[in-house]
Amino acid sequence: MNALVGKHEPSVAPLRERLARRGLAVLLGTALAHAGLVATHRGEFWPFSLYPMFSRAGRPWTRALVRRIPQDSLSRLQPSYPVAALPGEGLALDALGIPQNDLSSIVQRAEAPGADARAAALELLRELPCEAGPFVVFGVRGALTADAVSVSAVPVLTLTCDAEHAIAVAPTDVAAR
Amino acid sequence: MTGAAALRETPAAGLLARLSLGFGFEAAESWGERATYHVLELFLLQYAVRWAWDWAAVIGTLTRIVEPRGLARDIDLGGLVGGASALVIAALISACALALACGRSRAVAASSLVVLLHVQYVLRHSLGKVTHGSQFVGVGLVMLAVSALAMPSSRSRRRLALVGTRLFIGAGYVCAGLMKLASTGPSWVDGRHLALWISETGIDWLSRAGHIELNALQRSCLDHPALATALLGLGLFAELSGFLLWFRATRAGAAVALIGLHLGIWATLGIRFDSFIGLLVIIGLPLPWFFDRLHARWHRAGSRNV
Repeated sequence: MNALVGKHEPSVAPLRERLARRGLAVLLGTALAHAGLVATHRGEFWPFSLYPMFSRAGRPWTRALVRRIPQDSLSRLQPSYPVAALPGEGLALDALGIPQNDLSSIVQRAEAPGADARAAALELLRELPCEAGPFVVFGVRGALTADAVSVSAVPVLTLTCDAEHAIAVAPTDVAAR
Repeated sequence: MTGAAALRETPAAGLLARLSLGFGFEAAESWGERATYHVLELFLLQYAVRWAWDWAAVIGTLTRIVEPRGLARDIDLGGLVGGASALVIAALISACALALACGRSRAVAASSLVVLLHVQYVLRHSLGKVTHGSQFVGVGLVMLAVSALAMPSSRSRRRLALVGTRLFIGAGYVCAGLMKLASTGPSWVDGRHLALWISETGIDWLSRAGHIELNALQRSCLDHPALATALLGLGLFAELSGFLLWFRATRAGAAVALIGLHLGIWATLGIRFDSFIGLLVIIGLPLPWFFDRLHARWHRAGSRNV
């Protein structure tokens, strides 16, 4: 008990109070900093957060799916597909080192992808071997119906080779419409 | 009566005084409590170093900040994406972690580590998507830093780091539960919501791995909405009970419930919160008691050998 104050018994109580007050002040200060930083930074200031994950239940979602499709299918893309009937073959993004979560975030923020979304997608897909394409990024949308979940995929971006054999990102005709 | 004494006797001041003494920053520390602190410190530091390098690998492939977060909203950090800047930051974070593990320049090392890891996080997540898997480790690192900065003795520093980490993690779970009630209301527990999330994470698996196969629990939740509702209800209840981590009598029970919550999320949605589970084991289960028993047994065995 007296390791901090030696053998002077009368000084134990004030020291104990001082430490207790300082500890409490630090905790309150950290809580205030947490509240202030989160309030001024849209709910997120790492590591402080309001922890909103999964808080909005029942809302429709959109996730990204990338598929390699035959060249002649590019001009015949439909507005929407069931997931089980998507054209071409699926790409496993993990194996290519492409963070799927980030790509989904880009797709879900852009119904008809503008220049910003295309630039962000290019950041992620830059290393994709364009000669192996063309590729299409689908926005897969899920929503609750009366008593089931409906899921459909909309072609959002095409990934082709540009003149310098680098990957080029463009909105699909469907998304542009 | 002096002004200070009078202030101490007001109900609010009395409550604060009792609360602060209740944390026991000066209380005797057992061998097991000290060992638990060191386990917590090493646990936090290895995650900090691992994430610093993992995030640096992604930051190196970016060319610009698409959506600024945290400090990047206040300061232009665009010059740090691409190139080798993130690797330098990761090396600095590793040096800070090593200094902390060796007990050198604790206050400077811990506070620098928190700031640098914040920068690394906002650069890594500058494409728009925010993840929360690193949040509680970050909170623990903040507590290491503020306790090193503020407390005058090793014992009170260790106690504050443990108490603070427990306090903010408990509050974090309660906040997550309240956010669900505020955003959706009591109908949040409707089992159809879990079906919607299972289909969402199923598409994620399809996108990441190229194939999808639902496990038995996922299929059961899709087939039996009542089961899904029960699981969501239990999860929400566990989150709202997070504050029970603060009290010794209820701590282990709350930790087990929250670990169950994370195992349930893993089984139904395939999302792993390894660092959260590890932290709950360290700050929630009676590790100090376990280490004290282990220590006493070693001690007895040593005495017999002598």
